[in-house]
Amino acid sequence: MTTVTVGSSRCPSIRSVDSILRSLVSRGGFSLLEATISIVVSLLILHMAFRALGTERRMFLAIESRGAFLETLRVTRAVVGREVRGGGSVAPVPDSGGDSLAVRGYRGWAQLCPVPSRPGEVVVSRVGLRAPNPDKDSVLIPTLGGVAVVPLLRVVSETVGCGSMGVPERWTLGLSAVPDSGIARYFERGSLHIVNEALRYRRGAGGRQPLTPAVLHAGGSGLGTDASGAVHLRLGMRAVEDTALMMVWEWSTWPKVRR
Amino acid sequence: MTTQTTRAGFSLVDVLVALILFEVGLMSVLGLTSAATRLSDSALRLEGALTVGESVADSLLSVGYSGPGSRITPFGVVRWGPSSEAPVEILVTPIGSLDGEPGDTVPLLRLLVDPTWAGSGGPG
Repeated sequence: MTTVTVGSSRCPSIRSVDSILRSLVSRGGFSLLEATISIVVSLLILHMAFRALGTERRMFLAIESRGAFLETLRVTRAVVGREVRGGGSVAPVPDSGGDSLAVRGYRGWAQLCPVPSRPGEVVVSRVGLRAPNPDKDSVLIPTLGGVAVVPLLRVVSETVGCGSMGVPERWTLGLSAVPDSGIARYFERGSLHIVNEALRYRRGAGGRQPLTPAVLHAGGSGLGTDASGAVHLRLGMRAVEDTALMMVWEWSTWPKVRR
Repeated sequence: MTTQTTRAGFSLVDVLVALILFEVGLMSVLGLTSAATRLSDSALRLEGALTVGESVADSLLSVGYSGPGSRITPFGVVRWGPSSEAPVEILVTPIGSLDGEPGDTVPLLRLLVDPTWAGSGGPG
């Protein structure tokens, strides 16, 4: 007969097995009543927890949606305001259904330099938000009779301009007699659209690129002008989990606002 | 002779208390989200008031000032008129102020405008 001595320092593995077996035998556990109560209470608490998580999810989606809408509202107001107030002209896009506006967006200015040039050309020192692009820009330039809007045909770099600032360039304009002093401003042809639930911009004849997240209510949003020249923007916020119109923000501005 | 050992586990009360504490913590998080929802509501209202106030300011700067006026909008009542600090003051107050005493509601927005300012207009 083999005898295993508990607590023997010579056989630690056998001691551990014995200890586990004895602890299992001596385990009390729950009674049926205790187990039932604990399961019921646990289920109740879990049910409350899941309901709370569901509410949390809905509230989070609402907050996220409102944040995206606020971003859209601010960006739309800033972009439309900048293009309308600083641009050369605005007009509704024909047959657009009241959601589009053709704009001439201001992109920069240039000082005309008294440098001898060929007819139709002028040397300038240009300062602007971006470099002029003959594919899509026009120029507002002073003439003997007032001002004229002419196409920008070609832009090349120059070594010497005038004044202490700006990039020297030689512009070829669709105008035979170009003055050699004054300020010219260049504008981009484009159109603003509120379609497919976002504010979009079409540059020249390009595609309509989104400037904001697509969170606007399709029927509750629009962009247009009225007879007085005012530009009206209407932005509708849609519900989080369906297409209902929640609220509408209306904003107006004028091309001639003095700022 | 063997030694009787007892296992140190969780009792039923331990488990229930832990679950209740977990639920209380979850409710606290829910409270935070609820506060965030209220704040986002407030931000939307303020943005609405700003939209309305800015429209009136643009109108005054564009077509000029022809006297005090008011308008009711979904975001509040917008009033404009002379002020001691500027030629024209624009106030946007919550709709609720219509039923209360004058001045009992803090304006959502206050803008000061000088319609006579001769800034540079847009071209063409």
